[in-house]
Amino acid sequence: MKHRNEDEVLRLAFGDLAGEEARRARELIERDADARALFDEYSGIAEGLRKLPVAEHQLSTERLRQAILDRGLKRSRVAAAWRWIWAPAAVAATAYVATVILRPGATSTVMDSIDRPVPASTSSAAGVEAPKIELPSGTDTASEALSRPLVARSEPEIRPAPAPTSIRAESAPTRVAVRSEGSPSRGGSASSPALPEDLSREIMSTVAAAAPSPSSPEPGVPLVIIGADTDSQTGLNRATEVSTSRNVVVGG
Amino acid sequence: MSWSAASFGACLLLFGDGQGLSAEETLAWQKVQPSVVLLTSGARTTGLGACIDESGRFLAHRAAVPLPVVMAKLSSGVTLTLTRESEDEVTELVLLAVANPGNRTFRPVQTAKADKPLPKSLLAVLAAGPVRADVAAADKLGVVTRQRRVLPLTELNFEAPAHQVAGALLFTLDGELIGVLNATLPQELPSIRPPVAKGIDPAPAAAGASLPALTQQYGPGGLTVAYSVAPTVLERVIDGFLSPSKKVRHPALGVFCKDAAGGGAEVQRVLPGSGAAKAGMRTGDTIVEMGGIAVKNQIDFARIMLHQTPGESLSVRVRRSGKTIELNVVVGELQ
Repeated sequence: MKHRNEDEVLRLAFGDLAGEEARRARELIERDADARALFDEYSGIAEGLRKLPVAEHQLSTERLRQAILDRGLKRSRVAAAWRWIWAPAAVAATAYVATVILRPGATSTVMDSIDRPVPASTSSAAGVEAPKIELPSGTDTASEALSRPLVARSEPEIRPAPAPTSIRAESAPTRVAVRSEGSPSRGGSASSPALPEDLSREIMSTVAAAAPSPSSPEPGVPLVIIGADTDSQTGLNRATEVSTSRNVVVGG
Repeated sequence: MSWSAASFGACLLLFGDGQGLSAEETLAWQKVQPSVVLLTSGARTTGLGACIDESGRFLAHRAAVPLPVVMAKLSSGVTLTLTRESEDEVTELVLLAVANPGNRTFRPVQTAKADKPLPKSLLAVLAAGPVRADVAAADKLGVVTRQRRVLPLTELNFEAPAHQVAGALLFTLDGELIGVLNATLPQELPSIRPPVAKGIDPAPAAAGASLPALTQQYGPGGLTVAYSVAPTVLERVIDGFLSPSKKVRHPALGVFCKDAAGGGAEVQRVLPGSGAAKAGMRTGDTIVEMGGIAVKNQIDFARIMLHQTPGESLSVRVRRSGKTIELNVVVGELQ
C-alpha cells in the first residue's frame, strides 16, 4: 500500500476526510485487505482516544478547542455578507444622536479653585432657616432600584487592585474590583432614607436614556461607587471603581 | 466574622505591643489604646469604637454596631454597655454612649485636623490589633448609592484577613483619629486547599476559632483595598454628634444632577420644599456656576456643595432655554 493511501486511511479513521476523498478512501478499504486492516486499527485508536477521560482541570481547554473547531473555523461567507445590512440603521442612529440629543451649550471655563471653600453670595442670612431636605423613606422596591448601577451605557471598567509590594508580589495578583448588583443585604437598610420609587425610576430612566456625549468638554472623573450591599468577607459596604463620572446622578 | 469575643479580646490585649510594627507605630498604638473599645454583640466581636468625649461617647461604623445595645471592652479590662444615640446615614457612622458611666471619665482620642496633609502611612486598628496601612490615594471621590451623595474618600491598602476589617479605625502616627473604614473593594483570590497529612487534625488549635480550616489563600492574599471618609467629613460628623442635636448637618440644595451635554450639571429632579424648589429651580435647568465658581459637570456641583453651610445663601446661575438665570438658594440640610 502506498504511503499516500495509508495517509488517507488514517485521515478517514479520524474523521478528517469528507466528500470525494472519503469516497475514494472507502473504495480503497473495500478492495484492499491491508488497507481495511489498517483502517480497523486506526479506528480503534481513534475510538479509544475519544473515550479517554479528560482530567477536570483540562475540561475547559477541551471545550474551548471544540468550540473553536465547531464555530470559529466554520463561519459562512453568507453570514459575513449579511452583516452590512445593519449599516443604514447605524447611520440613522448616528444622525439621530447628532440632531436630537446633542444640544448647543456654553463652553465652560477652567475652574482652578474648585477645592477651596465657596463663599456664600450673601452673608448667613439672619433669620433665614435652612430648609430641611428630607428624603422620604422608600419602600424596598425603591431601595432595590437605587442599588442598581449608577452608570449607564458604559460597562464598568474592572480595575486590578494594586500589586502588593511584598516579596510575594511575583504571584500574579488576581484581585479585581467587580460590580455588585445584589440587593441590599444589611438588616438596617429598611430604615435608611431612600428616594421615592418614582424618583428612582425617573433618575434611572434618565440615566439609561443619556448617551455619552462627544461634545461634552470633560471626560469625567474616576469615582468609587459605595453600594448599599455588604461585602460578605469584610462586612463593610461593597465598593466599585468606575473610570468616569459620566451619566452618574448625584444629589446635593 | 465569627471569632469569639474571648479570642478577639485576647488578641487585642496580646497585640498591645504591636507585633511587627515600627517603634513609632507602637508608640502611636500605645497612645490611642486607652481610647479604643472592642465592641461585642452576644459572643461575637463586631469591631471597634473610638472615644470622642470625656463623658463616654464613642464613634463607630454601623457594621460594628448590629444592635441598639452593644458591649464594649476597654484595654484596661473594664466592660461597658453602649447604646446607639445617633447615626449618620451618609457616612454610616454611629454615635454610641455609655449607659452606665458612673463617675468614670474617659479619654477621648484626638482628631486630625482636616487641613493637614495626609501622611503616607497610617495605623489601622482592627479587632485583632493594629496593622500598618498605606495611603494609596487621598483624593478619591465616592458616591453613596442610597443618597447619591458625593463624599471625599481616602483609599488605603493593608494586609489583614478580610473578616477582621469591619469597624477598623485609622490613626496617624501622632495618635490622631483620621478615619473609619466604611467600604472595601471585593476580593477575588484563588483559594487552594493545602494538602493535609494523614492523622493530623486540620482544625485550628485555638479555642473558639471557627475559621475555615482547610482553605488557605496562596500568593498575595490578605491585601485589603479599603476606603474611609476623608478627614473633612469625619470632622463634620464628630462635630455633629457632639452638638446638642447629635445630628450631622450635610448641606444640600435638594436637587439631583447629572453631567450636561454642553457642560454644567443638568438638574434631573428638584425635591419639593427644598431650597432649590423655593428659589425657583426646575428640572431641566443646567447649573453652570455656584458661588462664583464655574460648574463643568455634576461632580463640580457636588464638590462645591461639600463646602457649604446649611442656612447660608448661595448664588446659583442656571441655563434655561438658552438664557442664563441667577437664583439665590438657601442651603438646606439633608436629613
